[in-house]
Amino acid sequence: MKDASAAAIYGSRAANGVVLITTKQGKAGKTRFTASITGGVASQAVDKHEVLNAQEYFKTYFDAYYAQRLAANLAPDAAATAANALVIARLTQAGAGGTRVNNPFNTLNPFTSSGALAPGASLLYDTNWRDEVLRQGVTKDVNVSASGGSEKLKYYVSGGYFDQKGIVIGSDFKRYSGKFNLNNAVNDFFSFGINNTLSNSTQNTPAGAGGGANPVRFADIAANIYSLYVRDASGAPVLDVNGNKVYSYVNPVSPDFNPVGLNELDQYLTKLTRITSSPYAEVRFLKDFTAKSTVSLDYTAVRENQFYNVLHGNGVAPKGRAYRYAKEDITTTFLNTLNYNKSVGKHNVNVLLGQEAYKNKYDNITAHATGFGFPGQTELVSASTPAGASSSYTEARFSSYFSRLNYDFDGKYFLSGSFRRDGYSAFGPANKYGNFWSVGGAWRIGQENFMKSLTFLDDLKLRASYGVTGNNSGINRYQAQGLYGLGYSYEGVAGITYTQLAYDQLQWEKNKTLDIGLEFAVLNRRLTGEIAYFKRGSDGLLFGKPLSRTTGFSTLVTNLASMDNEGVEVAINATPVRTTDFSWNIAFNITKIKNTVKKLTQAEVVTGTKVYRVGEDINQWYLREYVGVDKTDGRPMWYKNDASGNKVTTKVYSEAKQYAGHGSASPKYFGGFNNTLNYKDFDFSVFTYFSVGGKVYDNLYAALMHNGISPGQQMSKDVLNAWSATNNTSDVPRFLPAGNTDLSNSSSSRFLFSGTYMRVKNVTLGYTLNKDWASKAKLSNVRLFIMAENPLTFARHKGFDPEATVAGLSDNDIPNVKTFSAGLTVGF
Amino acid sequence: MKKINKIAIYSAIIFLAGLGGCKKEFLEVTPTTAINSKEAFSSPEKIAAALTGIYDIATLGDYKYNMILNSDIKGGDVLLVSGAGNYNRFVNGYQFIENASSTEPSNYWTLGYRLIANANQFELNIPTAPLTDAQKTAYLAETRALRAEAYFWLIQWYAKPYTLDPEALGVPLVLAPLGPDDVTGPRAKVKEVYAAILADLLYAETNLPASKTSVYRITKGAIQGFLARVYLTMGKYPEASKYAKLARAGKPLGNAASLLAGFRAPSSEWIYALNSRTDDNSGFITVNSFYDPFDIGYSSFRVNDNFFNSFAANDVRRDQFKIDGVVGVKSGTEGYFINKFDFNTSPAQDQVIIRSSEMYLIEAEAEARIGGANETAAKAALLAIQARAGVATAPSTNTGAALIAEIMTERGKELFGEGHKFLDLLRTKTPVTRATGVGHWAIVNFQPGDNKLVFPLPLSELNANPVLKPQQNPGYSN
Repeated sequence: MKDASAAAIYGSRAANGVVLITTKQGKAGKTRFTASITGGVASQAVDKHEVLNAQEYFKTYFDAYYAQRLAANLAPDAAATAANALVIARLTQAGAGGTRVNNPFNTLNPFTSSGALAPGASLLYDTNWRDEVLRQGVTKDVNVSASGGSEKLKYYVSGGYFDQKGIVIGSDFKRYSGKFNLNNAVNDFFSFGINNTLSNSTQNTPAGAGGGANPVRFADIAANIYSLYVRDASGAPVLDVNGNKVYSYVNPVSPDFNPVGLNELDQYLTKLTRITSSPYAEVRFLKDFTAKSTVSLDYTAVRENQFYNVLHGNGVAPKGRAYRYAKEDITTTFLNTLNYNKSVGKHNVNVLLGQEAYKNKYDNITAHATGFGFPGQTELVSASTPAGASSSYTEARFSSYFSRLNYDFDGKYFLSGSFRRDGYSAFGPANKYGNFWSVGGAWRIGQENFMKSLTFLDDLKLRASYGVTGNNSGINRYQAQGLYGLGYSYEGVAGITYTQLAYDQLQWEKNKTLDIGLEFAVLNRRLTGEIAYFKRGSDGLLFGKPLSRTTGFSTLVTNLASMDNEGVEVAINATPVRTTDFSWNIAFNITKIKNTVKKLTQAEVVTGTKVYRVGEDINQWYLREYVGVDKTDGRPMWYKNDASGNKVTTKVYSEAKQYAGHGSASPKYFGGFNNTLNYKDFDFSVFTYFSVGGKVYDNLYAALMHNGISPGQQMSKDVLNAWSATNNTSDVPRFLPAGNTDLSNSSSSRFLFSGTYMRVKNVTLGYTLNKDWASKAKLSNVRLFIMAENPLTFARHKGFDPEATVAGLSDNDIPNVKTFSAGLTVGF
Repeated sequence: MKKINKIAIYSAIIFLAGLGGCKKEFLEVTPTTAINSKEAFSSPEKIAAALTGIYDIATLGDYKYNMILNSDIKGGDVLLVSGAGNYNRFVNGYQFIENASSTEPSNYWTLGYRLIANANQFELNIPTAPLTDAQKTAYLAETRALRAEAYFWLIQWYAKPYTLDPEALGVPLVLAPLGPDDVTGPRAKVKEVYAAILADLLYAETNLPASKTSVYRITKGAIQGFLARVYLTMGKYPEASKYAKLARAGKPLGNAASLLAGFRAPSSEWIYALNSRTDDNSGFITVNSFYDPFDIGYSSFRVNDNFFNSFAANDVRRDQFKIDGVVGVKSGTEGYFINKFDFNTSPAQDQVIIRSSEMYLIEAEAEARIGGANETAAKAALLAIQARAGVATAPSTNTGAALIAEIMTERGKELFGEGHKFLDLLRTKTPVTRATGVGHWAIVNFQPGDNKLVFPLPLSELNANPVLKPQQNPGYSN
């Protein structure tokens, strides 16, 4: 729901769009059962950059060393021997008895002066780390429900089971869930009921972020020359006493890490139990009034286990380390509404008054111990040293009063208005409450008599709305208060430090939305559409004003910024074919949004790779500007400002200056088209999403273009084309096997690429069993489907999932997946 | 009628259920993981906790431990093994390729000023705090000493050495709390920052009660130790020597064995140290983790071949390179493993900041640089260190520049890994150079005054602070 007047009634929690949840209720009569089962397989949606295999990796270093040795006046054969030795020294590690670990070749001299493999030289292994950490994901989803009851007592019961094996090793998720809804009408004016849900899930998630234990990250940056297993001189994997292959933890990329091995030794487990229960009572009185009271309890208990084993990786120094987290998240909501519904002649009136009190309590207990005697045990009781115990408790509270009026005359003229007053506990003492409102109207022009002569026009509706909602997201629960944080102990004595400056003026951010739309239906409703203009302004943005670090703080959250999002949205829905047996429907929508910063705390706010300036886009990139390769020496060049402020090139990265003007991370426009075909009992649909414009920053590609800066780190195939004296027109900077301080892959506009892409997000083929046949089998409905999600992605920039970016930057998270699934739903 | 009654009852139930959010205090919340800053100086216990918090900032892995490590890795006796591992820690520092967005220049600045801001809260609040006058003076003495130490680190990283150019741009002097709307001052001159450091330390030395004796906290001895260091760094040798002698009084050198105990807990000569406990969260960014030779910690620091070979065969300290009974274990072609700092027993080991050895060496250097008759005192102080190490039984016969060189060499051997080397090169205006073929994989050659020897002011600061934006150090973008 984007309509301002519709969103405003839902208050702060509607700032980013409203999702209406309709609770399933039973229907009176015979008990109806529905069962559905879905199964699917998943794999990485977009292949990452092409990288070097073990031989190419070794040879890239060999070639560079060989050229250096020749330049040092060695004869070709001697230069080759020297180069082989240098590569071995640079990339491999010392093993027992003078051997080298991680030499992928069966010889210490794999390459000859011609650059060819020496006679008899061959690879012993070639570790594709991506293949080692990725696997086919499998999903199973089973749901069963029953509903029914009498006219007075209705119920709905359901149970579900969801089981997912992720595409990355060590990732899986299993959930059991149930629902029980009951509604009892005591008499014609009083009813009560309760809606309950219960779910229990278990999730294993591999380590994330930049650490060596993250399988995604490790596989992205470890070269193929590092072996998955410990190998003997012949290259055969060494077996342990049980006959299992022994993992190798020797590599320079992340020493003592091997994500495949660690996956079996470490643990990252989350267990979650969630219970929601909402009893309610409803009274209808004086014919047109309905009063409803709901008390909701949402209870979530989380247990997290983290365990770092004693043998390898993160847990070696403390001799094994385990964390336990127990989190309890309880939300209670009291909601009271009074509804008035009246129709007098052609006048229809609906009035809603309400009050809500919301309280969330978040309780977190952490315990931490080290010193485990032997592998296999992860409970804290098996550790020798309690290393830390902590707890914290926070609360957030909202108090709201709201009202809404809907009026229409004859289904032609619509008017709605709403007002609400929200209070949030985190804001300044005198600024906790904000007032929000909206008005909206619509005119179904098509219903007017003067339009009746336009027979091709089935409907025409003009709507307009304006509303103000509050936003409280992005701040902590005590943001307005000056704080001395607890827990800064030293020497076994508890201490406090100044952690947050007070800001009493902190208040609601106000989001103002203007929406004007024209909806039409023509050609017997075979062509419908909508064109809308919207403007969403945010006043008093909850915005971290950057502070000079000399204050002792880095930011102060204020309301001192504002911005506008302005745009146009067009949606067309056409039905080119509509016969008894066959229909074809096309839906298309496109949105263009322009962002403009209206007000800031200072002339310019830089947040890493972005800059905010008044009058400009908030997502615009701010990067060191890459110029290219100096053809004479292969070194990268950037721009800096000289003493008189002119842009001049520099080869010294620390002098390179950040500039704006590289474009924005936000797309220029985006949208989707959906084709639906129905033939008899079959249905087929394809949904495609597209996004045009917007720049993305490819962190991974930058890491893969290190050109020798990070020995052992994987490289893109593009490095094979690096500048050299004989390849001096290359746009890839020079490769240096050692002592490369060019910093050619440091953050710059070099790694900014087009974010334009199109993705087929969903293809579904379904078959619904003919009602007559179904009833013969005593079934109410049967549906079979096969579905593909994200099967195809067409991106301007390859090797990068355009949807997986946070603010346009690639990350080390589990990649997006494409899935193929099939399902069956049976009702009886 | 009956129906009306029922409606009234049901309505009342519903109404009561909704009363939860109506009370005015419903929206008043009190944090439990922090206290309101207005309360921080309201009781003696809270004030004591606020002081403890300042020490805790000093133990953050990205701050003082990191600075100690960086000074050695830039100094050249110590080197970093190459490779992409090590989470890239100190890779930039070792190669002198930091830029204004780099981690270390950003952290030292941010955390240094955070410590100073916490100390400045004492300047503001102590005068009106519920304490006796004696207690107030004691707090001001201790927090000013901590503030001085923070400025001493800042001025050495972000500005040219005092000995090179006292008129050069230093760092902003913030000696009272700054509010979010206060405009920070521009960079003070190097000499002005040193004047402020000395003012704080001298006030602290006069006013800190003698009852403060914990080696893990500021003591009169620790203040005198810092005064010796600061005066030495400024080239004020008589004062340096005077305070070095005062600082080591009552802190006799330990025996030879104390040099091989892993520097994990205070010995008789420790004057000032940071206390490390297993429940501290320095995240392995500790000195012993990087020097650890057993590949348990970061284990990525080595010494270069020349430095290792400079230890005489009979030098006790040569055993600081003994690993599993073998002295001098090479790490491929990249230097020798170091076993001076124990990490094996527990990662939580105390970090020495000042010990009497350094005071002897400051005294020796200061007296030698004064020269003439003072060389006798210099040799006596030097002998104390050499005799303990087992390399000399009689005073040095060197004089003049040779004596100074001998003292500097001895200083390097005695104090390596303790955060001095790079700062020593800076203050003595010695070129920062590395020999080839001794294990270094990044060869550098910087003359005193080179832009690369001074950190950039962090971009995060310049972007937030228009006053400093035009004051970036040369050679770095703003």
